[in-house]
Amino acid sequence: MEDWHWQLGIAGGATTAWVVGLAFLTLWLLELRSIRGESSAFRRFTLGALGGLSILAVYALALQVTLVREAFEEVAGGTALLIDNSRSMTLSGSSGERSDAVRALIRKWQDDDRVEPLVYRFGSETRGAIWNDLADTYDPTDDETNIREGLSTVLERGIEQELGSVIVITDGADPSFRAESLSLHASAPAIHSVVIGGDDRLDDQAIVSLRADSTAYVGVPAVIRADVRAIGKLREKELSVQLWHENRLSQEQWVALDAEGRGDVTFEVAPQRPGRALYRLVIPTHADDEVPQNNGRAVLLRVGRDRVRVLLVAGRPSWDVRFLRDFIKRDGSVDLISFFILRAPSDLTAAPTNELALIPFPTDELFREHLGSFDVVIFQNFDFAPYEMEAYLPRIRDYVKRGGSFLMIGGDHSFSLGGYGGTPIEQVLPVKLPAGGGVVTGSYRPQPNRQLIRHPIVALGPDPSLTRRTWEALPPLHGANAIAGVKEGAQVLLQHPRARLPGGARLPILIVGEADRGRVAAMTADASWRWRFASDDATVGSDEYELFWDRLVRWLTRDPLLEPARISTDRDRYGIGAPVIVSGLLRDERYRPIANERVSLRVEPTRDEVAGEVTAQTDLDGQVRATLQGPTAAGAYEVKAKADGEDIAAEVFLVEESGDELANLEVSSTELQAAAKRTGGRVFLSINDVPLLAELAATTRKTAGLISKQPLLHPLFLFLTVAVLALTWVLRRRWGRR
Amino acid sequence: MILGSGVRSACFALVLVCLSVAPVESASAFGDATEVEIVSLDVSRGDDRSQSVTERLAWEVRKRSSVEPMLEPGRARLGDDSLFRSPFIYWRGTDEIAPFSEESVDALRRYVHRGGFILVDDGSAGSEGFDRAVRRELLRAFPATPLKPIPDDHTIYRSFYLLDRPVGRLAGPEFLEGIKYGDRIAIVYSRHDLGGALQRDKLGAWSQAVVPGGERQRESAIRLAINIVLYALCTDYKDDQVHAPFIMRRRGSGP
Repeated sequence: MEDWHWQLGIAGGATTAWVVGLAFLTLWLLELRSIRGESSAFRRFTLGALGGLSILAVYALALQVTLVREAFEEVAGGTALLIDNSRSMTLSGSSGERSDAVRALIRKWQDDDRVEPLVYRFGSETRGAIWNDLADTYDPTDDETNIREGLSTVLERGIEQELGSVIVITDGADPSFRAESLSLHASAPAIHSVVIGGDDRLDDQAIVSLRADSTAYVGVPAVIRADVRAIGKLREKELSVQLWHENRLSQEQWVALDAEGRGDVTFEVAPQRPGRALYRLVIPTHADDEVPQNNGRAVLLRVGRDRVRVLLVAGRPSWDVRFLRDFIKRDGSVDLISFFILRAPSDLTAAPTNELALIPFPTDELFREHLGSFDVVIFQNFDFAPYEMEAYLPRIRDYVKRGGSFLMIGGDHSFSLGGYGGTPIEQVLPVKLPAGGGVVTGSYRPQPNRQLIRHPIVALGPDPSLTRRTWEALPPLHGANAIAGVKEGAQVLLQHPRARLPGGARLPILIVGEADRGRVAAMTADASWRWRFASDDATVGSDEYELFWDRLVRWLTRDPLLEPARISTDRDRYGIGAPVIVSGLLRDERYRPIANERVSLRVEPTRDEVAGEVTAQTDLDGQVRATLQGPTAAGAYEVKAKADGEDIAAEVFLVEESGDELANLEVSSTELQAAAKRTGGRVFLSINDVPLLAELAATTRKTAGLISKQPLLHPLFLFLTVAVLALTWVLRRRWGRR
Repeated sequence: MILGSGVRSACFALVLVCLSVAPVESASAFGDATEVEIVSLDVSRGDDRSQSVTERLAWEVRKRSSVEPMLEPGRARLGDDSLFRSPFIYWRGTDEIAPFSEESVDALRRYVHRGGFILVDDGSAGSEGFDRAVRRELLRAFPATPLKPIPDDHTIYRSFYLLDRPVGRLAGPEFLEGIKYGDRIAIVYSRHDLGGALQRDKLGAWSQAVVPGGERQRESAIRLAINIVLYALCTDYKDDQVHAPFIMRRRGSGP
């Protein structure tokens, strides 16, 4: 009777009930008054009581008291199946492979056609699947287990689908999952879980995680940290971790595990060469280890120099030298070694050597012993001949061709005036030198090459128009070295507004290029310091001077941010066969966006047929994005972007046999049980305990309308009422009352 | 007249010596605008002595070092764009001067901020007028960085010559003073009358006697002036690691 509620059927509701009630009460009081003269007390009592009962009965009938209750009905609700698609489901235990257990369960459920669930697979992402062929198509390959994301997706969609229950089939190997993080409303469907492997504990040692800075520096110790864990009976075994580098065992450490079988180990490495360095951490596989795939992980360090090393050699002190050296010296990311010729052989110092603060020009030290340690060598108005440097010029050429950078800045000791014509230095310079020297005099404002105005070295404004205006506003330069021409492949970034080369082209002022693997630049003017030292407040210069030289030095050292094209992968490391999402900005060598063009993205080296190549379309800005099938063999890979048959950008990534997915394999049902408790679901730790799907499929209670009844219209009540009225009438007549 | 072979040889040798001593005219064909110019600052009208000092200083710098300054440097004034014709200004004075205008003080500040260097030379032989004016105006321009003595181990004492202490025409105080701007000293103030030790008359003779050390002190003064020019051009170059061991050994304190 708890669900019943009473209502009054009389028109006017409670107010009418009160009025009618008072009226009947008055009637009964009048009745009592009319029988007051009756001599017999028995008759007075009987007539008064019967009159009261009659009035009360009629009053009750007049009120039309009604009992009301809402009715519900149970209908069959939707059922969603959420299946773990991560790679940990491929592991095998004593009872066989987890994925086989899932397939067997699906087939068992499919035999009972009473329920056809909605099916989802979850892992790196959650997506739908088809129930009918699920047993055949189930092939877990995802690199991630994300139970929360899977459940949230299904619960969100479930509101529209009127889900009654969600059944999660997983190994529970998701240490980040917390039941309390689920948003569950009052009518949320029941969450049932089938924990695959819950009754089959693994014996495993694993490298759970690996941490290292992605960038390291030559000669500077870098730290690689690894978290390890052991489960099952291997928790009691000793565990060692080896560090391998370039196919050689470099270090090995024993790890002390805590009570939960966890521990960590730290290796310190000191990369010796710039570039990419691959380090592998390996736990030697124990005979009882059921998952040897997670015993090794790798880390790829991008090794650079902690600071860019610049060698600046100046033929004599000058303002151009002073301003450039001061600027480079202020840059904390640059390690500057400068050497100025303070005294020429013809200078008369009027002092013995011990009164001079001059040191011999350490040519052998700079150009033989340490040349390779410099990222950039700058010759600023420096002539080599007086310092017996002919023997070192081939070394400088070879240094550039091997990947070094070289910049020559103008002056009366530079280019052909410095005697570099026909030397090994000319072989790497981006310009051809005239036989007889020569200079261009007079002041001028260099103009950026219209074709290369987007090049970062000269792009001083946010767009070509403002860049052009900025160059027009800079203080003028004065004079320049004459050159005979520009070498093939070199780029003229700045030009003289009036002076011409013999062929009629404008005289180049700033030329950049490449010599084999090295980068080279030639700045034929020697007065860029005038941009920094200007009188007029309105004149631009100071900032532009620093921007220009900063960009030029960074371009020479191949700063990735100044490369015309660059791509990146969505992650540094992937599991076997995992999709690799590549995105990037592609511009041609003139820094113009490669817009609306099809470019090739290819993984190298190609070790299998699966990992391959895709063709993607760039947008108007040169942006590109594509997904490649990842390699199926562990190792270090490079994805290259190719346009017009040439590689224009590359990025490296790792493929690991293990990875995070196989790092945490401990089956955990705790949080799944918490989710079941919150929603009235059930958790099955053994697949043998799982009932048919129909038993887990939920019913949904739907409202079926209102049920009402009027108990006072019962015939017995009506009979009693009539009987009391009749008895009252009869007695009144017999006892002489009307 | 025919000279004997011995006389001819002597003349030839003399010509060679003269050629080697006389600075060669600038090999730079880029024009004056890119050369090093030691500009004199005109604060009061009609004082040409500063310019004669900068000419002598330029000549000495060119003769002794690889720097090739303009041998006929110009002049600059605080009130116009001529101030920015060169990052090196030589400001010599002997007497009290009127306070600079606000525009001049601002120009001085801007000049240093953009990389300029100022050598202030008190030629007053100890009187207080010019010294008071210099301190007053520099404090107005650089209130946060007042003049401070330059320590005797500063690069300025080994930018070219190894020097123990500053001297000019006068022995003066045992230190130079300077205003540091960023990592460099942007203003050097000497109370030793450096210009007085450098000046020559029109016939090439020294204009003023150097006291108390005579010609040896004059040579030290010239060396100091050259060091200051080299410091302005190279700043702390001599502090670079590559130079330190050599200089330490020469000073007798190295390995």
